[in-house]
Amino acid sequence: MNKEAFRRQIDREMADVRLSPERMRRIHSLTDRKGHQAGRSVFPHRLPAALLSVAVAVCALLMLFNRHALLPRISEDRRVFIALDQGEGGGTPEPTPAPTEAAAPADIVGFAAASGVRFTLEAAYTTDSLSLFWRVESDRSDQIAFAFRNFSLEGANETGGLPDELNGVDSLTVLGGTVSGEAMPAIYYGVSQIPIADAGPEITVSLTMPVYRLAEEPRFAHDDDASLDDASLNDALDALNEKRLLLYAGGSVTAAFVRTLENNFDPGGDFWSTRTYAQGTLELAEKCGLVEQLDEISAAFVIDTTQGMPHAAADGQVYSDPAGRYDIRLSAFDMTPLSLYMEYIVTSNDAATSTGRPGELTRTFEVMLDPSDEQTIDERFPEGRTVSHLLLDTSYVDGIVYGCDYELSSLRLTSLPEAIYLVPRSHTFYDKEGTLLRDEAIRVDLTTE
Amino acid sequence: MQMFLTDTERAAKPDMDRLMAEYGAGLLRLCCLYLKDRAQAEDAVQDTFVKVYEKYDTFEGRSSEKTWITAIAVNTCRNYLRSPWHRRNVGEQGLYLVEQAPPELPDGTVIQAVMKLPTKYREVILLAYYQDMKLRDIAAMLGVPLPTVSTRLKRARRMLEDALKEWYYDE
Repeated sequence: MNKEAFRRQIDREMADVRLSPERMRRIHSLTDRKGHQAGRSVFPHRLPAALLSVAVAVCALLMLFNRHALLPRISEDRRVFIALDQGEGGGTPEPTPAPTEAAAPADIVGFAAASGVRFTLEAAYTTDSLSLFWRVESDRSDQIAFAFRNFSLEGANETGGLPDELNGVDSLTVLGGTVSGEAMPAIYYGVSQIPIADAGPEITVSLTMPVYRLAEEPRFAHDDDASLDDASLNDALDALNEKRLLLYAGGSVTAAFVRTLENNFDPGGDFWSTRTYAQGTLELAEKCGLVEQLDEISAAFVIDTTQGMPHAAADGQVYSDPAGRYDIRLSAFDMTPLSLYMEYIVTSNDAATSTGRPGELTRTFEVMLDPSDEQTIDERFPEGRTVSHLLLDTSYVDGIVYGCDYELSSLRLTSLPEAIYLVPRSHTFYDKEGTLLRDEAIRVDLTTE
Repeated sequence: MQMFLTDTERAAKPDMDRLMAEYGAGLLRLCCLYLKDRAQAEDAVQDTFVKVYEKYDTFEGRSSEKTWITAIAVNTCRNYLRSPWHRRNVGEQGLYLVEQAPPELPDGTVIQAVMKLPTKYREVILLAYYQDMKLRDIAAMLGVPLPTVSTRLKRARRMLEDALKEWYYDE
């Protein structure tokens, strides 16, 4: 293939795809603002940092004494989380509901708002990463939308940039209610891994979560009637008038809707220069009279890093499937009572085993604690306790085994097992004669350090 | 010979007009093909330029400016693809399955074929053939071994050749 011809053809086909003047103005606005911020930064940093540390420590102590009964019980070998604040505008702390499994998740911090929206945050910590498992649940019958904003991390240097979903870039999500007679999920959860370095004895995590609902009587509060001509905005308004906050089938307020709003209400782009995507979208929707804020949960807690966490590692170990057809090398592996982090490389020892039929064969593994157990990890920890599926896919194409593949997976566990099992779930694995080969589970022993 | 930047040069803030004029369209097209969504691509390019502005003083000139900025854009797109928001919108399997291109993107033969490639093949073909990056740089950028990049590139070429037949393959 000719690179130059390929490049020219792409550019020809995408000739109309260029940065719009509005987008360029916004980029200028954002960078100019950051430039000004840097220029105004004349106040000494150490003093407020020291004051903040003292304030955090005092608050932590006060909270520990005042709310001890409300905090989850802390076992000796677990990470300690201390809630610092629990909600402006009606938010109150609540003990997290007891887990269905035996191990008590002592290190979960829950916050509940008067609106019936609950936010749960848990964390796992290793020397170089902080995993935050978060869950938002709504007890309301109507649809709500929420966003994260003002996420901050103190007490450790973050090395890879804050996760977008917690930094408010792409966390705008709609929960609960019904659409076309179908009940929508009232729970949303995710895991955010933050590379960190130089962690001190305490890491303070804080964020704010404003909660909105569809306005009782959606209105269109803008003077410019011309904007009503926009077809997609009219579609959005139709949906809103039908009490559907869900604007698109995908489940979220989409970027296209945001763009429609901003084109109609914020052509200059200044509005977005100070807001993240999710925050700006909801504020703009509120400004338009489409949604109204219910309340706001402010969550903050301290992670005590001095107590040590049980840790197992199997870095670099190679595991072969019982038939010797392929190896799995764990190139990075961290496991705590709360999380499993794994990167892996799969190498075939015998290309013939994948040549049964042309096309792409996908190996899918599930990670299980007991290979004879028909339940998956997800099913063993119901009610949204598992925050990430752990399906490891590896591709074999046309008889060629890809020498390596890469995946990152994480999930939540409530206890540290002696071993886990990688259980093949795909049965489209054939030998040269086209005979189906059933794979056996690969046991991965976890060596406690 | 590679010239490293001096401290004074690094301390200077970049000329955003120049950067956007020089790389804006190419980055937007790259992000469009990467994310298969015009609106998200514009957001990704915006995030990229903001990061470039913030981190420009860390650019040491060890690679070309274009490679450095492309790496930021690719990382931004990869974060978008991994995010719960994107997964919920495109479906969890959407990262690896062939999808129809969204209607707001141009209906060109080559870009349609590129967008139908699974993500891991799409990214190497874009970086190697559209951005003209060296395989070694691509491997470092994606965090995978060099042979992996080479294998993926070969496979991606075969997929494209199958899809495009004799359209643009003149060698």
